[in-house]
Amino acid sequence: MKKLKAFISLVLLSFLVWALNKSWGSLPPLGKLLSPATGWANNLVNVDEPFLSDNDWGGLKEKVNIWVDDKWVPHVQAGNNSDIYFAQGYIHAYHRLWQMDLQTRAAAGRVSEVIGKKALNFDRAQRRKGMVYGAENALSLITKSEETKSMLDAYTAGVNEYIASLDKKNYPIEYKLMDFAPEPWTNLKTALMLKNMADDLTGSVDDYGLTAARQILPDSLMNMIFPVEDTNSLTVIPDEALKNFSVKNHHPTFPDSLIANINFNEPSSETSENGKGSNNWIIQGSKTKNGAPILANDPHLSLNLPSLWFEMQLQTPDMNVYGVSLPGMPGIVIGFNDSIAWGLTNNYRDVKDFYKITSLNSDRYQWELSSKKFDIKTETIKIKGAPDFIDTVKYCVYGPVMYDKDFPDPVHSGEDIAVTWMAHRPSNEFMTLYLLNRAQNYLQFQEAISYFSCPAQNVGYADRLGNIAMWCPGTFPDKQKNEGRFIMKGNTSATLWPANIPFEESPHVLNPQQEFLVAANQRTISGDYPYWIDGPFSEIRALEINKQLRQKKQFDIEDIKLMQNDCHSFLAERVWPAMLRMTDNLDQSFFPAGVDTFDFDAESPTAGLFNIWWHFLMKNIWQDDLSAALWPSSATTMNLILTKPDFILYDVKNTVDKEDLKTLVNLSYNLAIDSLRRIKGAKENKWYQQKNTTINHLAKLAPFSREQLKIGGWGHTINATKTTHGPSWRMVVEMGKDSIVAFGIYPGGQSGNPYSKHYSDRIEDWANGKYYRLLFLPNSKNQNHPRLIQSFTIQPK
Amino acid sequence: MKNIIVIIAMVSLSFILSKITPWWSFVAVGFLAPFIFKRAAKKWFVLGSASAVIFWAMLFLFKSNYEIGAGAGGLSQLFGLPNVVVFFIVTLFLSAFLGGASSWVGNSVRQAWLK
Repeated sequence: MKKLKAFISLVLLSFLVWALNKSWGSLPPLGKLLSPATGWANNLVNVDEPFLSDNDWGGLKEKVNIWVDDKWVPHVQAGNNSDIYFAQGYIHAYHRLWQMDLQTRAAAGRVSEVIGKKALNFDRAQRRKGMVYGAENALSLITKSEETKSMLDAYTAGVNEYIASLDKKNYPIEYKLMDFAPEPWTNLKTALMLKNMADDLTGSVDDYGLTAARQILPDSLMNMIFPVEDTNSLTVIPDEALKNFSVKNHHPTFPDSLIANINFNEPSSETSENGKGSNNWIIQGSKTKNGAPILANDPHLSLNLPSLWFEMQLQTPDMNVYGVSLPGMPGIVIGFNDSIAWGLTNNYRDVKDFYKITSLNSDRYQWELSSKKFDIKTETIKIKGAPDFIDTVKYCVYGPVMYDKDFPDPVHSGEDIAVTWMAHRPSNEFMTLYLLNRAQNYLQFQEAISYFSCPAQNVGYADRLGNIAMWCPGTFPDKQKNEGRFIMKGNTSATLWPANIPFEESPHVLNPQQEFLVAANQRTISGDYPYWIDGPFSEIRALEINKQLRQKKQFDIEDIKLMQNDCHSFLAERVWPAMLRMTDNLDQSFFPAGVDTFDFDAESPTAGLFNIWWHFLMKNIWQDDLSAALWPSSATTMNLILTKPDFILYDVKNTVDKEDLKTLVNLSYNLAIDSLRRIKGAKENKWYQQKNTTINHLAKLAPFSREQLKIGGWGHTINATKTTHGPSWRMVVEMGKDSIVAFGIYPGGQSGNPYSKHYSDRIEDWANGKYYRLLFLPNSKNQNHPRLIQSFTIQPK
Repeated sequence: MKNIIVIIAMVSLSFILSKITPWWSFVAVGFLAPFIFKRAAKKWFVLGSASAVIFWAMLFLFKSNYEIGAGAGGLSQLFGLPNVVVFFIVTLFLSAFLGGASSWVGNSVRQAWLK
């Protein structure tokens, strides 16, 4: 009996240890996590935490010097190109390994492996849209170039050097909470990082919504509310540059007969996000106080922790570059070197099209008068705590069949829908980074950006010789007018993408007469450009930036910083007075600062009211007519309100009365006031409390996120800080002949460890509109600047 | 005095093993201790608990110059615990229970098979 009791006790104890050693659903392995020997306590770091802990790395060819400044920015100096990217890979992994790991798993559709079944639909979508397919195609080209192959090889080796040195107890805390381990880095993962960015910036398109609208509206209305050539746009490239283009193309219109009919059984949710984008403007020396060009850039992206960006300076004998890098990718993405500066905003030209495929059976689909065989790819999705899921993805001449009966499209049309996406095509954007980081003049800059394919960008340029320029590079098929706006028939070569527009024909301008250039995701160039251009451009921020740049004769860096933080709403300034004039019974208590303020500052008492009023007005104007379709942009709606008081669609369908704009404005006002009254304290709440700007941890872990940030702005102000999107990096660079003066800041911190003080130490300053002076060191093996607080000499093993 | 020696031995061994073995090595130490030291059966649960609590508390104290409170605060929020004190009570209770149970089971096994 004693033996039996002892045996049972032993079994129970063993079971308890086993149970505490494994995760249960979303509950982490508590024994491992709570033990101070292996768990969370090992991720704590001292207040004077060293930037690195190892001083000898295998894989280096020569010694590498690293100096760390008071903002925890590493300045890395290496004797050759291989060592610099090796060091960058090591440093990225040292500080951001889990982030890099999760983002590439997400890109590849492998999140279920680490968080279980709840990510299955996400993973299926990622695989069906061909993320890995695109990354593999890109890698085939990347590895053909000696420069980019060795760049990626060295970076991968650096990441893996760190992973190999990592003890389990030192895994980033998120690995312990989610109970998985880092896996070796590969060049494919690096390529996936870029595809992730392409997906973020070009993956969301309006094809479904526009197709629905086209099926509802007559052509005349369609052209009015979804204009293909917005005459109010102040385009990225001014009209003076039209003379740069030799080809005269007449944009033949894409035949209606090639556009597919789709059954919309659900509203279209596959639309581009309103207000998402970036600002980038450059001012010529003739318009600046110091006589040197100034470049400003603030890309608006998802606000996450660990931060999207990692700031660093890289030096080799042929390169001295400073800026922000993306953990998971070698090189500096946005920044400046000792000769030129560059900034990026997304170019929203449409590079993703959908096709309705007629499947004849599971193997073949209709093609012209015959049929073609699908290429079948089996996707095995591993799921934590559940059996593998096998998905079958069919590939046709257009690309992957993203939606079918097993994985219906967002509108549940029941159709097989294939996708052609520029991110699937072989491209080598890493060559752009390699050359751009080293470029010394305009011609070298031009060569560098010629390799950039997807996501297409507006690239602003300034150099120390005083030149400013803007290029809108990217690979674009030379489409007919309207081609690709709607879902097309997928059974004829007439809908296959045509040949690409040559790079030289990309919209661009050098030293414009207007003395400045602005890219804020607006239309790239006017309709007189000899190629068809379409996409979900957004115009309002560009109108405000242009207005401010025209209003003042000369600017200095401080002016530009104020502009980047400006919360004045061009939309509210134009449309709110008209709305107020039409409103019958204004409750003055909702306007403590008066009715004529159009700023979305953090403390604004009225911005919230305007936003919700505008939301209801948009809904009341468009929902009855376009319930399942895309709604026109805020800019288009604003123009209609200001110029077309008798617009036919103001009348609400299915009502006896004939509504006009005034009726809708009053109805929307009452709805907005009712909503605000229902929210406790809404009247007293400031704008920042109402919008609740939050920087979420990538795994949405609340203790590692930061919310209720005191910051103003919205999607239609220059400071485009929304609830979870905003300026992910603010940079202002003055490219003087004698010196470069640069400032920057991003919301977050250099460390990816939530327990480090450098995890989120920049957030408050960022929210308050402060900047840090960027320490651009001369290219040298010896540095003694007083701002340098740590130094490391890394020896090859 | 003998009890203190047993505790010091268990804590020391747990500490050394923790550098190279998994988190549960202190459970193994607690289990094996009754095979080495002779103490009354009723004392083993307390000895094992005390050793485990001292061992974990000592490891936490080694990190006391770090921001341990803030770190624990994040986790207590994640697990829905009201505050850091409760978090540490739960953590130390877990170690006490595992340590005590392991020594008690170790003693039971020794008595059942070796006595």
